[in-house]
Amino acid sequence: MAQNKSRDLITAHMDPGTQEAIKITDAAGVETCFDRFVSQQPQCGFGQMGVCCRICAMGPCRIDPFGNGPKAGVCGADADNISARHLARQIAAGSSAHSDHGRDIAHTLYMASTDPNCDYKITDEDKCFRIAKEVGIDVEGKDVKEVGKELAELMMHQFGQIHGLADVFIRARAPKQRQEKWDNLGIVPRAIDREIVEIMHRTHIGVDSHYANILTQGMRCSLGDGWSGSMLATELSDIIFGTPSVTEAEMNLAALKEDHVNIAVHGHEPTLSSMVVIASKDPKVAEWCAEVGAKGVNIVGICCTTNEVLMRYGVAPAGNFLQQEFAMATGALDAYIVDVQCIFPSLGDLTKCYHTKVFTTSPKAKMIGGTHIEFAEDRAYQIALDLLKAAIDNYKNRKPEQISIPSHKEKIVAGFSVETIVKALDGVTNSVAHPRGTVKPLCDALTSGVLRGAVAMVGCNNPHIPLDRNHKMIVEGLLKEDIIVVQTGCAALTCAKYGFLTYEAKDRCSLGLKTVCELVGIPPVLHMGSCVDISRIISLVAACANYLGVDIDQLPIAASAPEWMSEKAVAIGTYAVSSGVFTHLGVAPQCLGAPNVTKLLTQDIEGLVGGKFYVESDPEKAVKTMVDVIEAKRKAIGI
Amino acid sequence: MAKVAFKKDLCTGCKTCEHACIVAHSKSNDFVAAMKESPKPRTRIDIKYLADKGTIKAVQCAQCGKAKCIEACPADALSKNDKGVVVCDYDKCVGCTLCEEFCPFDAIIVDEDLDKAVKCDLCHGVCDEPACVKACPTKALTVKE
Repeated sequence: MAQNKSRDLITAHMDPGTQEAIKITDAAGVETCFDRFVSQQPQCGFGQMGVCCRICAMGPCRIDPFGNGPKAGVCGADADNISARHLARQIAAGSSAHSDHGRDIAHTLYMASTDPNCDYKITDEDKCFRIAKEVGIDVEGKDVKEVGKELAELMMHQFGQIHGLADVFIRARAPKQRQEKWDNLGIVPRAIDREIVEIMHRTHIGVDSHYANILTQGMRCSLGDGWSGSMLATELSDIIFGTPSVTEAEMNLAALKEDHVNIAVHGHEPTLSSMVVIASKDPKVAEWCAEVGAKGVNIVGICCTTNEVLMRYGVAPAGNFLQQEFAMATGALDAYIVDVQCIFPSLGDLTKCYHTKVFTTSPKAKMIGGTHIEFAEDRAYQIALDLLKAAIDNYKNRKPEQISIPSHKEKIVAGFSVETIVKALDGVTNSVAHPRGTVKPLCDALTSGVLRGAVAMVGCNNPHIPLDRNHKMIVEGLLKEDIIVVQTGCAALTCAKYGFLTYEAKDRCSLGLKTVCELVGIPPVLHMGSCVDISRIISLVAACANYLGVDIDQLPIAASAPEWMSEKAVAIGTYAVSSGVFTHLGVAPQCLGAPNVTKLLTQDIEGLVGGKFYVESDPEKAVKTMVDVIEAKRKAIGI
Repeated sequence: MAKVAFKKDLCTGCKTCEHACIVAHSKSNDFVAAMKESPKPRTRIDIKYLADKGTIKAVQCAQCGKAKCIEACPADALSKNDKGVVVCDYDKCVGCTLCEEFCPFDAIIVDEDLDKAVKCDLCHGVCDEPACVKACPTKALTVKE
C-alpha cells in the first residue's frame, strides 16, 4: 500500500519532458497532482481495503480489516457484502460513463441521418452498411441515411428497451461457446441502463446481501458496457467521423508550439473535438490568428480525446491523464476545450496562475474557474468556431515570463482499428489461396508460435505506483517474449512517450515478433484508440476465437492495466474477465479487506467464465505470470 | 520524557493512527500482508468513543513518571528505558495481566495470542517518529517532549 510516499519516488521514472515540466511547476510554486497525492498520505485503510460503507445514514460503518474490531455494519453487512456493493457501484458508474458517451454518439448519428442541416455527416458509408447488416438491419434498397437512422434507433433502443436483450453485438460477434456460458449464467444484459439501475437497487440498504449475487449483476452490467455501450460508441463514431487508419505524430508536451495559438482538446468524446479540428481549417481562423500575431492554430490533445482525434486527423497528443496540469504550466496553452471524464477540477484553480482559459462544453461537466460555452450537436460548427475565436483572443494574454515548453518528444504511430489491422494482414495473405479481409494471418502467426500470444495493455495513470515504470517494464518484458501488445487510452500514450509505438520498436522485440512487424509493416505495440475503444480489442479477440473455433478464454492472450484508477477501469476489467480474459491489475482494487470477494475475483470466477483478475504491483512478476498463463493456454489447445 | 499528545477536538475518528500502528508493528510492514499475519499484529493506540461524555479519547500509554504497571509487575518485565519509555521485556513477561489491572488508562493489554503485555513503545526501534503521529491526517496526535 502507498503509505508515506515521497514525490520523487512517484515521478522518478517519468519521461524527461514531464521531469522538465515538474521543475517548471516547482519553480513557480504551483501545486500539482503529485503534491496532492503526497499530502493525502496515508490514505484511509478502510477505504483502500473496501470495508467502509456510506450507503445508509445509520452509518458510515467500518469493518476492522485486522479482525479485532467490528465484523459487521449496523445493518449486519459484513466485509464481503460491503465490498461487493462498493465494487458493483463502481462498475455501474464506469458503465454509465462509457455508455452515456455511446448514447450521445448514437444521437449524433441519428441527427446526421435525419437532419439535412446537421453539421455532422456519415463519413464511412461502407461501415454504416456493414455494421447495420451485422446487427440484422435489412439494408436492401435503402440509402445510407435511411440505414444510418435505423442503426441509430436500434442502438438507442439498447439503452432502455423493455423487452428482450441488449445483445445485438454479442450475437453477431461473440463465439457461440461464450454466448452459451453467458446465457447459462443469466448475465446477458437486458438493457444497458437497466443493469445500471438494478445495481443501484441491489446495493441499497437491505436488498442484495450475497456478495456473489451482487458481483454477478456487476458482470451483467459490465457486459452492457463492453459489448454494447462502448462497442456502439466505437462503431458509430467510426461511421460518423471515419474509421481510423495508420497515422503518425510527434507527441508529448513538446507538441505545443510557442508561436501558435495552442488549443488542447481534453476529455473523451470525438463529437466536439473533431468539429474543432475541422473548423480550425476555416479561412476565418487564419485571419483571426494573423490579427493577434500568431502563426496559426495548433490543436493538440490530452487523455482519450487525443486518441480520438489522433487516429482520425493526426492531431498530436500533448500528454496523458497525469500530464494535464503540466500542459497548462508551459504558459503556452491558450485554451483547454474539455468535454467529459478524467478532467481534473484543479484546472479551474490553475487558471488563477496561468492565462489558459478552460472551456467546459458539456452540460454534464462544469467547473469552478472554467468558462462554460455549451456544445450542441445541431450548431456544432458555429460553436467550434466560437471556441476557436475565444482561444485566439486569449493568445494576447500570455505572460511571456511563464512560457517554457519542454523539448522532449517522441514519435507515435496510431490508428490501428480492427479494419486497419485486417488490411495490414491482407498484405501478407496469399491472394490466390486464401480469402482477404480475415484475421487468418494473425491466427497463423499465433498457432505456429512465431507470436507466442497477445496482451492488451490498457488503463490510466496512477501515482500509487512509480509512474510509467510498470508500463515500460511490462511492455519491454512482453516484447522480448514474442508477445504482441495492443493498447488504448492513457496506457498507450504512456508507452508512446518511450518510443514503443513506432516501427523502430521492432528492434526491442525477439525475433518472432520482429519478423511479424517487418513482414506486416506494423509497430509491435498497436495503438487501437481511446478507452471506449477497448471494444475494438474485444471485437478483434472475438474474431480470432471465431476463426480458430475456440472460446475467448482458450486464446493465448491476457490483459494488463498496470496503472488503472477510474471506475471505468473497474467496468472494463469486469467485462474483460467476464469475456474470458486473464486480467492483470497493477493497482489492487478496493476489496482486499473482503476475503470471499477477493477469492471470487482472483480464483473462483475462472470456473464460471474462464477469466480472472490477477493483482501484482511488481512488473517483472506480472510479465512472468502473463507469459506462463499464455504458454499454458497454448498447451491446452495444442499449439 | 516524550509522549504522544492527543487533541480530541481535531480527531475525526478515522482510526488511521490505529492502522499505521498495526502496520509499523507488523512483521511485514505492509497493510495487506499484515491483515493475514499470525499472531495478529495489534494496535497500541485505541481511538475510543466515550458515550457518557460524548467525546473521543485516544487510549495510549502516557509513559507515566511513576508508572503503576511497573510497580505491579511481579516478573520485573516492565521498566523505563533511558529515553523514558515504558518497555516490556518479553523474556520476562509471564502474561499475568496485573499491569492491565493497575494501569489507570487501560493503555497496556496482554495479547491473547502472544500472552505478553503489548503497549505503546513510541515506535522506538520501529520507525523514526511514532507511526500514529506521522499518519494522523488532522494533526490531532503530536509528539510532546
